[in-house]
Amino acid sequence: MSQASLPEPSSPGQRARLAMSSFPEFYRQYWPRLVRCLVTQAGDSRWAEDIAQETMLAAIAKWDELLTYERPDAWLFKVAIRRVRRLEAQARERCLVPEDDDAAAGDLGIAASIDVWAGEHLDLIAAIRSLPRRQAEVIVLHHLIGYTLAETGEILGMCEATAKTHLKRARDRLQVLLHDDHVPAPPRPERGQPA
Amino acid sequence: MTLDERLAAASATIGEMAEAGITQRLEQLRAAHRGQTDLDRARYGAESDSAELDWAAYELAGQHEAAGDLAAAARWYGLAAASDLGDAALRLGRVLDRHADRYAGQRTGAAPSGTAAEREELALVSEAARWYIEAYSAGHLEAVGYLDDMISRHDIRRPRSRPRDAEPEAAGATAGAACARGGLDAVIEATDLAGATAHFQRCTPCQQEFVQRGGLLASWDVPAAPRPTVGPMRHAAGARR
Repeated sequence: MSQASLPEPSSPGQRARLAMSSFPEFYRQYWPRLVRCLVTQAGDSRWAEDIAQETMLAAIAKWDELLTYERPDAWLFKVAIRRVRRLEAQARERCLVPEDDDAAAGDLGIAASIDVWAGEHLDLIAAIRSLPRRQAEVIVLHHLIGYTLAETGEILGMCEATAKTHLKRARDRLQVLLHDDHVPAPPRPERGQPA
Repeated sequence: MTLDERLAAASATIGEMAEAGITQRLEQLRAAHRGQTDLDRARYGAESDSAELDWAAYELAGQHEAAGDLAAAARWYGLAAASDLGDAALRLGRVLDRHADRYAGQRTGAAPSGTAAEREELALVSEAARWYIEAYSAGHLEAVGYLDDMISRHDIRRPRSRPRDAEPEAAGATAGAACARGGLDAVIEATDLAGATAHFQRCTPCQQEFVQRGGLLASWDVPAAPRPTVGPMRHAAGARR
């Protein structure tokens, strides 16, 4: 599948300022990042698009207020990640979290079938999903989305030093998981499906 | 391929998506926005604002903790931890742990006597243990050290709320939802240690059953006593997540 490349601003801050010209532009810039961030965090891929869209609905509803924020994109990730964690907490409360590798691999297969990016980075996503949630959040916000550790800490409600600690633990664990091939490898999707 | 190369490759394309797909999603969003009722708008507004409220609760808890009001700190950390905010679960565990120490300081002798202070101490230790486990599963590995330390400080002839010869409470007898796998005993019987541990980390009904059975301190021999009444402290700490 061919993916139309958007011009990449040099930093998340610059990207955010450029995207603030209108909500559609903001959406174009952050929808892919938001939904893929959520795919790496949610145990159930079906939640990712729903939560991303609900978060965007909340953003459009308070667009005028978001225009006054220094980093409206940070608000987006903060709210979306909190939604995921709240849903997961409710799932844990009801003992509804899948535990076996087959379920996890099956869910990743679904994610890969609807998004080429997920299919191309399946082993990395599987490894990130296996991390404790704070570590998974820090590594994605810092390494994949591009926030500084201070910004990452602010989004997640922790100080920069704590974010740094989680980042180190996450990197150490990922080194082991990806090197030793401990992560279950779900089937890759057929090429040519829409992202 | 090194880890940094993998991360860089994923980061380089995470913002790329077919324009048609984005436009379709944007149109769906606009339609949903147009179709929103006042109630929908209020709900979305409240949900997004709750992120700020969680942070405010966390900040307030920190101020109460600094002022030495551990009950109030636990109440506010409990609200933040219920939303899985940052390290709120770890801090809640620490505050409950310290509060249990205060009750331990009220003990008059080494032998357990089943006093209200002892029962409250046990309840606080069990709640703290639950939140330490929660913090550990979120990635705060230091929670294990705190848990070990807490147990070592409270494990001498501590009271439990149920006599030794009483039958354990049935699986699923806890308030709220029941474990889909039948409760602690069923999970332990049907699974190996690694599987049972993985399940326990993810299943709140099993964690609640564990705490109801007396938590980590259940095996100590103490006089039978009624469970403590639910005061503001326990209510806050036991807030549903």
